[in-house]
Amino acid sequence: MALLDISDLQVVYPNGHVALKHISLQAKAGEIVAIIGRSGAGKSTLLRCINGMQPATRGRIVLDGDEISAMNERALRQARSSIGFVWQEFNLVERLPVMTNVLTGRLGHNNPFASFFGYFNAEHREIALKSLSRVNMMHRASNRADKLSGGEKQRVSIARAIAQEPKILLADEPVASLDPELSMQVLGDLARVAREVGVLTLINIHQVEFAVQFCDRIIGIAQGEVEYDGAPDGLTGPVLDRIYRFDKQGSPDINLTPAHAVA
Amino acid sequence: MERIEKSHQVSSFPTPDSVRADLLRPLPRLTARSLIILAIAGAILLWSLSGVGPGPSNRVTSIFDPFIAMGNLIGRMLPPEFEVVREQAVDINFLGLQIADFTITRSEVNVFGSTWEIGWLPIVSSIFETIQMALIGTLGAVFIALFLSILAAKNTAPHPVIYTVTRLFLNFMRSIPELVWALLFVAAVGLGPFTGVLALVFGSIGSLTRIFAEAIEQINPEQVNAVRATGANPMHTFIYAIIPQALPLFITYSIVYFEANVRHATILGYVGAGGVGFLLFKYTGTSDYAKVLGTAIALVVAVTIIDRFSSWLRGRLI
Repeated sequence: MALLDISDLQVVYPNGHVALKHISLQAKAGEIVAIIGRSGAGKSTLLRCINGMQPATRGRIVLDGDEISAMNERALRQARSSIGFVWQEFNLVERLPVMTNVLTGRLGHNNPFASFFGYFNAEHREIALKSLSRVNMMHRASNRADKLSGGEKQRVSIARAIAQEPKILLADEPVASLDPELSMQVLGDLARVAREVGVLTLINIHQVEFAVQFCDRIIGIAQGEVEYDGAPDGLTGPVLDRIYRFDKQGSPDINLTPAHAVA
Repeated sequence: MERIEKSHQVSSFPTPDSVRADLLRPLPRLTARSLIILAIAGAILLWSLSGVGPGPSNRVTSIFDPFIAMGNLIGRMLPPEFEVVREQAVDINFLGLQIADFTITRSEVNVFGSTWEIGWLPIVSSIFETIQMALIGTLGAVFIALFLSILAAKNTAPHPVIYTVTRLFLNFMRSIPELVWALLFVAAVGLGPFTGVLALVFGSIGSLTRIFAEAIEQINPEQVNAVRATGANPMHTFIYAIIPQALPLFITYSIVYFEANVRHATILGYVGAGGVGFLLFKYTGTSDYAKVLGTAIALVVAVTIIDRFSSWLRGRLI
């Protein structure tokens, strides 16, 4: 049975904008899935639905047998403690040390009373340190988060998500704020760590070549619908045209396809 | 129809030429509106002056009289004096455990032919009491403000109605100064520094909560979302995402209020709520102006030390 099962998901915003028309997809534990598509295609909305930040208008999202789309706020909090989220703008709590930022990933698992006083026992600290060492950020553990560079921040934020020991890891444009070289390194780290811990990972990404390089499976979304769902080597020119250039049919072909994807 | 629209457009949107003419004008244009505003402002000023001018009890006949009177008073203050009590029993104990018990008696010493009194200075214990009051009063207000500010900030209030009610309550609290709280508490719970502490707490929480709430409203909501997305409950989100971001302003304003409360605590003794004010009340009551100046000098020294200390503390904490 699939770990994540989304069926006929529809999201309509209060202003009437249809962000997702009908999305159905399944994903297994340990898969690394890239979600590609143009800005406004509904990629972010999809991720925000999976962790319950965006309520679904219609359809079901089932994660590990629990229906996210039918949960109240309390149940959702419980579910979110095993859903890691990596943000485009990192969103570390800037004035806190790196270690405390990673420990916030343990808040859903720690004794609430202990958390109130900032107490995390050795077991939780061990998990946090292990997460930090997976992204090679141990040497920064005592620094304040605002002292870190962009790439370091995103690695720490990956560690925070991994420290949750999540069932699923969601990354919304994780490298869009980084330069191309750093993008590749950080995305490589994200994919490597996800494989090491064997967590199902969904990554929203604009760089098709990175998606092809690091992910097992590509889902292309256009105009709120799944346009492509399959292996990276199935991303041929016409498929990319349908994902990215659906409104420019017949215009001269610009080669969006990375060379190794066509081969 | 078209012509009406066009003329309307001309009147509401100035043409480049008229803007240019206005910008070239060296003095602002005098219009009926600006004249009326000037007249109203002048009238308010005259009305205020008419209410606060010198009365028959002020013995003022010329503009120089107040300054001459003040000069006379300063003359009576010089040289400054410090009160030395004849006998002061000192009982030092820590939480009931007695450490020392002795009496300080006043004695006279001769230094190069001039006589000095040495002994216990009540101003010292008064200033310590004032600082204790300010410290505990500010900490009490900060503690209450931390919780109230959650309800008084738009982004953390559980419901808009709670937000509005809290803000109304804060406005009410802010409109009552410390001295009025002290008068009320002296009537309710009696004399002493504890009354002063209550007055300082109640006098500070209104403004302090408002400032704390505004600090909370200025934080980056994305960092808060990220912590919430890990499954943290609202209390933990507040502790781990909101407080760290608002902390610099919390600390700055807590220290500012501590400094202000030292000064407020000084005056509270006037109504019997402990601190240096009681001494000032005593000395002015007996027209002992040299001792008033002595007290003022001691206060200046204490406030300067506290200001230095608090700016050092702020530097260390932020």
